[in-house]
Amino acid sequence: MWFLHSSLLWALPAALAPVLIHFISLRKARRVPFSDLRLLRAAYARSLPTSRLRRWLLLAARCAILAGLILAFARPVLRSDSSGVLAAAPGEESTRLVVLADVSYSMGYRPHGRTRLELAVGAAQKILRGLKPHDRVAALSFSDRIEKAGPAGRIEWSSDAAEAGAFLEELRPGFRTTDFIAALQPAYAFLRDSGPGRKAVLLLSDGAAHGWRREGAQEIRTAVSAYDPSVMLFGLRWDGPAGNAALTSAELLFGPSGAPGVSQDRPELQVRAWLAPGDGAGGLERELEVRLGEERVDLKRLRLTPGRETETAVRLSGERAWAWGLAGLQKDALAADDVFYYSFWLEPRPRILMVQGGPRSFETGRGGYFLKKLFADVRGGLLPYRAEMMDVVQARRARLSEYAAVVLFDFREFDREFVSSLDEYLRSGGGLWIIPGKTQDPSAWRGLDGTLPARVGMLDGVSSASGLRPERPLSESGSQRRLSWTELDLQNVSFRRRYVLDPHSDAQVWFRDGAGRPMLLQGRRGAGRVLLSAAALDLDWGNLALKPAFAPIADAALGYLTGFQARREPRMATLGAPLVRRWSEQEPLPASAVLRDPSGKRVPLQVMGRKVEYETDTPGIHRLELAGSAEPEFTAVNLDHSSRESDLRPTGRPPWNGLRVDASDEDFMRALYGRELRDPLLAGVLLLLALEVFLANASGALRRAGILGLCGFLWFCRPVEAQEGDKFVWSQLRYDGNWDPYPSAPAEILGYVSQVTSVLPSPQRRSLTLADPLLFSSPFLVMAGTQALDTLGDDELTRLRAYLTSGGFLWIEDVSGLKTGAFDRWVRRTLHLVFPDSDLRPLAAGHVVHKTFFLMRDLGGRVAVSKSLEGVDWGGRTVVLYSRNDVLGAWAKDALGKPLFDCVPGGEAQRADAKKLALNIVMYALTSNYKSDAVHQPFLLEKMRSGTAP
Amino acid sequence: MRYLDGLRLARLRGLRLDLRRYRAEGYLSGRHRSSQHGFSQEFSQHREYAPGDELRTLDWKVIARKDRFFVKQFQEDKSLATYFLLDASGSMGFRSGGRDSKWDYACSLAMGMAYLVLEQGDAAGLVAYSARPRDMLPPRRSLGHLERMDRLLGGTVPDGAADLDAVLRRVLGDIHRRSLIIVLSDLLGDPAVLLKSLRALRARRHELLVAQVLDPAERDLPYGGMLLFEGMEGPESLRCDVESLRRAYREEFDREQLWRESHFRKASIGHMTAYTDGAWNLSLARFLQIANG
Repeated sequence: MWFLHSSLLWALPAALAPVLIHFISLRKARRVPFSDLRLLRAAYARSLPTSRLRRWLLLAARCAILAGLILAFARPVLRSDSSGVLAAAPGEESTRLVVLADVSYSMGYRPHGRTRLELAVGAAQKILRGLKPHDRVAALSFSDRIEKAGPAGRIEWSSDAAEAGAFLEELRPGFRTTDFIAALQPAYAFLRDSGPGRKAVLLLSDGAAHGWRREGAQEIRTAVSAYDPSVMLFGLRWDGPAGNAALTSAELLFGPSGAPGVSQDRPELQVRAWLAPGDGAGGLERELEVRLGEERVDLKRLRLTPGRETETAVRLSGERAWAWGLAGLQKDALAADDVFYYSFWLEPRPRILMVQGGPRSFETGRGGYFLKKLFADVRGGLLPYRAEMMDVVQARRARLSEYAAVVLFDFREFDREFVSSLDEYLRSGGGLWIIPGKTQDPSAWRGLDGTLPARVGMLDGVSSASGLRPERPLSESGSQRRLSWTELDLQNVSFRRRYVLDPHSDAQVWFRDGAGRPMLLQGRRGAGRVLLSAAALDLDWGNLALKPAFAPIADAALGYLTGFQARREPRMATLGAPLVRRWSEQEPLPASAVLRDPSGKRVPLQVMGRKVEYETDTPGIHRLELAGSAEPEFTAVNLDHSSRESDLRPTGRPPWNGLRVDASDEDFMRALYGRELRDPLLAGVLLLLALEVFLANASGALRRAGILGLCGFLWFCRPVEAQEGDKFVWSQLRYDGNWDPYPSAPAEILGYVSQVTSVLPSPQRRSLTLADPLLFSSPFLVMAGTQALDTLGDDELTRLRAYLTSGGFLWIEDVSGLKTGAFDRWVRRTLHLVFPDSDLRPLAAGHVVHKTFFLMRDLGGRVAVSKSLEGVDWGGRTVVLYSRNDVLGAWAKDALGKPLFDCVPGGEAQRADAKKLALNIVMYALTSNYKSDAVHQPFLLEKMRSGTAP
Repeated sequence: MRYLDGLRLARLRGLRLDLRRYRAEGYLSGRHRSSQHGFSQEFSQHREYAPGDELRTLDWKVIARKDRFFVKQFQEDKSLATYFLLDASGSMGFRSGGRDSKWDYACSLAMGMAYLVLEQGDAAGLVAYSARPRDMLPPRRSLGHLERMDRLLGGTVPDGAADLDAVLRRVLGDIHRRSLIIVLSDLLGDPAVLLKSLRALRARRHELLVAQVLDPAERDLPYGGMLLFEGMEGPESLRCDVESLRRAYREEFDREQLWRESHFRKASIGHMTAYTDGAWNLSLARFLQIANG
């Protein structure tokens, strides 16, 4: 607590005066001879305890009244925070205020029409308007980093609060997350380096808990290195948020990891939605729309539970290299997080050439039949390969290099040419799987000798021991990596016939039968890979094709041969990190890249070091168009959900001083300068006075009247509210109808006023109705009109009269330009009602309004309807000034600054007079009859004589 | 006269103190019919002369007729001696608000009554007392006695403490005959002691009338602020804030007055309280009303 007039505190001992008076009066008691003291003494003895108590109470009350009065006039100010800052009176020290505006996407929360950012900026504007001229402001916006540092682009002090306000007005919520520390750190550092003074930081934020990094609100002391407890930190207090739903992730699933029936050409998109808990939010039901590309593929209702993630899967169809699109929830108060973009690159399925030996290979029970089943199932095929079936004749014409692997099965024989092309294919890195056929001619192997990893021996017709022993883990190749051989019924596999294989030294055995003889061999030929089966898949050779292990074995074999891993790459990025596309050494490097962002803007990117980088600030699908590639690459950019930005719940124990959004200036000023205790003190003094009267049994009417008078005096000692500091405010009367015919005129006039005179006008015009409580703190009121208005009610008339008779000034401007208009009649009628005792009469040429600033000889205006102003006098001054020449109209300008109307008939001279007259009227409202003082007469006479009156 | 001027005498016109209801016993003739025979005009009987009888009572006509000495006996009008006991203690000098002091008021009352008594031929005596009888005038029947009374009262200044008991003991020794005793006092002091002495007076078959003369200030305590009350009958004083104890004082005062009244009534002592702000003749009239029954 401190005192604005602390010197008055020296008078505090005077509060003990009643005690002194008491003792003096005790000593100087009036002597009264009395006949009999017996009764008196008895009464005295009886009333002694209460009378003594009452006496002391009375004394205490009187002392307290005096002390209260002295304290009240010393104007104590109480500051709520106990930061230990040396308190100073408001006028003594300037305030340095750093305004930090949060533009993270959670500030776009819009529960009732206006976003939180707009509300926060509105609250800040009120505070900025209340700053004193010597206060300094710096404004910056932040999200998880400093976004914009003030109007000048860097943090620096400005004495113009309006400039900072304009900067704040332009801010819009972005798409990044919040990090208070990132903003507070530079703000505190800046304040630390800015010299002494009262310092404050205003955090225009939703104050949500997600804005802290780890320890929550307490980390400000540790994480902000320049933290200074004497800097006052202000935040805003918000209503609790409603529950806010957000989509947080999307995952593309297919293959065995997905649900049954999900395959590469029919993948499943798994979308996660999250409902941030909020006030009164139970579960919610929201519509979820999923688009693949631009096309809607699903619309479903989603039941959301607060604080939980809800998963849902949407089946996408059609094979494509890129699966991209968006999932969107029905929009809620925070719309930014209701959309999630996804984009996945899918590894293209390899082509496999299946070469059958003869036309009967696909008959039921034959090996070809089962192989074909692997790829051509009604549900889309068990294995993710595009298989093409050909006979040898067709195969001879095929370009083997287009295929990732070749499977030879059920063949009878091969001509040399095919074998040599196969060998060439193998050497250049192809894959070959040779499955013997039923009608195999052992001589057919001969051509393949160099290719095979084993020497093929005799056909062994004796049924071998059942079971298949794997020698190579399943997980090394194939798309079904989650399986292991032990899960499959390999022990039930049996073969009735097989070739005896004699593996080469570099061959590797995959399977052996129960007797330990190799059944599947792996070998290499150049860069190529070769697999050799010992037995055909026909049912009369063995039962492998009927067993569940068949598909995994085939998958593993083809995976080994093709190197296909069914890769899918999510191409998704979060805002805040740059988009990066890297090319591996294998991939061809594009010559140029152009990025097209969601808004369609094209950004050419430079490929440097096998990568391109781009920092985006918009969520959505970004297309990377590469030179030499037909199809663009898609990258989905999403909001950062890692810090739970969608959770709008406020910080538990915020380290700032919470300001009410709708009364931010009041709270701010109170916290900064403290609360003045004069009124409560005076109220206390009044109470004590009442107690004193009660205790003292004062019965005299005089005394009562005196005390009442004192009460009244104390009440009027309350501070009078100044309207706008020392600024002149242009107030204009608002009513139903065309109350503002020239919206630009007041600003022009005020500009002229500040240019020509030393009057400080407030840039903001104030418009008010007669019922507005601000009316009585707006001593200058302008009313412009063209048509008749509604007749004023009794209370409005009373109010207007009270306003005018208690110091208000009303300038009525008839802008109709008519000699007898409806507005004119209305004005005369109304003024007669307001002032029945004082008429509206023309102002004499010598009226002081003609010389308050300029010496007017002619009246100006847009038109020349009347030769003189009219006015109503009250109490020696003109309280209503009525002009009919449309003075305001002469000021109206278009956007280019040209006058909107010609002044008739006087032209520009008349306009100049109108300008002078407007200024004179303003000055008359401000100075009243000052210029009629005799002291000005010599100057006026001199000017009039010389004829140089401006 | 100081206490009885023409104006006051005029005010007394029409007032009468009827003392016949008190059975008078005295050797002075007055308006009161005595049970004793005396020398008056109203013949009662004849009786044989005995030596010592006044010769002027011999009935010559009977002597002449019977040749024996007879004296005439008459119904004697006995005068009633009325004693005014005036309290001249210091407290009687109390006055407030420009009014007469209680002493002056009591004197006026006493003189008015004395006039009424003397005017009808009865004897009136006067005792002014404080702690002891200060001045005394024995009862006389002449109106001229009024002058003496007035002089005496005018020369007395109230002073000292009152002690009615002691005074009565002294005075009663001198009053042998049954008399009407009128006490004019403020009756301040221990009421129980006072009542005892008045009862003793009654017990000696004296008629007793008590006029209590008080100043309204003694009832209302119309002061404000811190005061130092100084006793008028002694050196004691009391410093107090009047306002705080006015209510209590008034209660005490009323309580004591009630007590006094009820006990006087029980002891059949005629009692009246007069305040000095009332007109003295009205108080006198009221007192006479009480005295006349």
